Amino acid sequence: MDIRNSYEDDIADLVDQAHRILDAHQDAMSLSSLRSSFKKVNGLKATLAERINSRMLVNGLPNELLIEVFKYVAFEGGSCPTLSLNVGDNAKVQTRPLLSLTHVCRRWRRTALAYPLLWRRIDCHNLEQFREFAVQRSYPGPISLFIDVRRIHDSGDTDALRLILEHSDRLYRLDIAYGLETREHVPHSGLLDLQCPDLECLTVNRCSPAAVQSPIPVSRKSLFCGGLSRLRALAIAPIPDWLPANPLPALTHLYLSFYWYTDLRTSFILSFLRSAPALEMLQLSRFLMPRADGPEDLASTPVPLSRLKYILFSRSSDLESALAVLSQLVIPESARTYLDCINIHSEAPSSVLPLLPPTANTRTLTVYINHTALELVAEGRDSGFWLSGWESPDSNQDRFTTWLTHLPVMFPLSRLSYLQLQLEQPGSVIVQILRETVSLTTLELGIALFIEEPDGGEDSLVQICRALSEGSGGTEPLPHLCPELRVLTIRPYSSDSKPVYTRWREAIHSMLCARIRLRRPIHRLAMQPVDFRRAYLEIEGKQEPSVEEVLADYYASLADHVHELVLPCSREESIVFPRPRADWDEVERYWTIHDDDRPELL
Amino acid sequence: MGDSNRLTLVASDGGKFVVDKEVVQMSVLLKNMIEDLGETDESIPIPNVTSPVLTKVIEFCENHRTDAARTDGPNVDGDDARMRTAVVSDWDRQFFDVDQDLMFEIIVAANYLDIKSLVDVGCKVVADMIKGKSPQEIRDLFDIVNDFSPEEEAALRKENEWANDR
Repeated sequence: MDIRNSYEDDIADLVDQAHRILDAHQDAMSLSSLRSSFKKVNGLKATLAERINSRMLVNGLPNELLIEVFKYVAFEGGSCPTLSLNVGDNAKVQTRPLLSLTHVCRRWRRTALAYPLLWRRIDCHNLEQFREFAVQRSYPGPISLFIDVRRIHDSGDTDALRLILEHSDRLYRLDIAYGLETREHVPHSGLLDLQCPDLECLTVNRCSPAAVQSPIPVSRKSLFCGGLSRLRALAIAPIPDWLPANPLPALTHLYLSFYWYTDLRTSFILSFLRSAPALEMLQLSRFLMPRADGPEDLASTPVPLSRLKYILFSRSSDLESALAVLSQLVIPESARTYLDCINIHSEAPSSVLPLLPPTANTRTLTVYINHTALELVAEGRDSGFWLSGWESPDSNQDRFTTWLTHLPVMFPLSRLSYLQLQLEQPGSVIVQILRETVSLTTLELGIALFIEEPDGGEDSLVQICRALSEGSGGTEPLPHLCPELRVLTIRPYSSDSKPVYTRWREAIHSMLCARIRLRRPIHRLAMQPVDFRRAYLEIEGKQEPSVEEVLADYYASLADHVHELVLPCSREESIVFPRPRADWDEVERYWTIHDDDRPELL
Repeated sequence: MGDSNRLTLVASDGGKFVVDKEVVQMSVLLKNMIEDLGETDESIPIPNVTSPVLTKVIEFCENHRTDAARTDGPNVDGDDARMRTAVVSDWDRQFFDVDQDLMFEIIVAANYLDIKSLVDVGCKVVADMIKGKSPQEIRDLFDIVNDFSPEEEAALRKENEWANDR
């Protein structure tokens, strides 16, 4: 007899027997007996279902793999729980997907409940939930808490805070969101006095902070009973009326928002940074020092941050304030520096960038200027510097022109191998910059044809070509400008001016020939047509050809003087502004920053 | 004497696979066995893995043979760096575009052979299948039946109230 059929028959017999007993005696059975039988049958049913589930493919995974799957589900985006630094009412928490997992079947529930580390991320605004998760499920593992002070405050649930106090020694991460309808500068004070010897990450967020009218006095305050020796990440947005006074020897990630109007001074910030010598990522958002420090206020010795990898002044920080801090930091050349600033103008002497460690070894430089904005990328082999800024609306074009005259002070132009200039500036300004770039091998020029030249002189392109043609004289003359130049890309742009291709071709042709005579020929030339209306074409007999067709013929003669001639089509991006290089996973290891807080160039 | 850079794996159903040693060394189990055996022509039996599964495992190792070893940076949790970088590539997703039987057999085989990257990708693929689904949808996906008793279900309902208390 088939053993399997025997089992099935046995169970079928037992069920039949149960039916018969029930039919025969149900009238005599009490309600409690019926309920008891019902419970037992349900138990049997659950057991059978559990047996079925054990045969399912997914349950062929051993517990350790099931836990791995659970981790990926529960900690979407990485097991390190990140929190937006703009905490709103929908702050992302991790409890819900975990609960779903434990509601699938008994085996999944048992497996998840037996793994405390899964329960370490807790959004705490429900005492019962907190007690279950923080006290029981995650015990004795470390816990990460998201505490919305507003909810605790609304419910008056001080028991939750008491419980947190009891278990704070297990905290490795604490995210505090606070802020009520009324103006409030500080989170619940009790939370900042916990004993958290193992705390590694602390974020303090004020939800929807209202603007303040008068400056908030800020002082240093000892937090968490003085013990933050293991803290690796700290974000405060915005700075309330305190900054930690604790030494922060292990701190690697620091984010500070200066949204609120405070009485902070540069010397205060520098003193705070001095307490965090291991910093690797420093972000100061909306950075503005309303009070200028006198020389006597600044640190007598600069602040060494020898491990710094990233420094960001974001969200329209004030350039002068940012430079005041930068000038007092000793940072590695490799520290990637981002300045998203306002007030880029030359009237304030300090708006001219000092030669900073990250700019000292610049080899490639890109500068874009239009009538209000300036974008700049300077990169060395291991270094990177990004500046995105704009002037106040009442400023004028001359300020950027003056700023550009300081470029040789700010960057080692003589060592550049690559330069990209997209400037709405007169040709004379561009030529002045090129006089410094003696090592340049690649030049990409975006030339605005609608800029009026001083004294109504030749247009930019003609001026530049003429300057690149000049020789030094003597028995072995060299080009005056950019003697090492080999690759040249020109992209004139104008939407409404009349292109004068005849003049440009002659200018470029003369320049190429001159460079050959000077034994410094251009190897590769890319010349892009202007995006102009076809009716403006000056070429006789060509009624409606495409721009590319016309120019291919028109510039074809230039090909005789270069190894490679490229004529990009008018819609092609022949000059591409470099994207800021950054490892955002590293910068945002502990939190997610708002899109506006990221450097976005062009 | 055969090619010293290659060896033969024998699946549980007798299927033989001649592969580069470099490829199979993604498996910590096989790497250790190769080191223990030294230079030998002997085949290595893989008793827990069938031919179709071993074929897929070898395909994965072949494709990932040049992958740099993953390094885990310090973090609040030792798993963090690995979990943050465990992105499922298009190739990996395509690789796991198989029926559930084979998918789970591959993951279990990878765990047995100790191929960390394959285990990671497999678990991530399963997790992606689960994400955003309700418990009943997950049951339907994996053909699981509800095995909770009414009393247990009452406790689950209470937890659901917590989850919905947002």
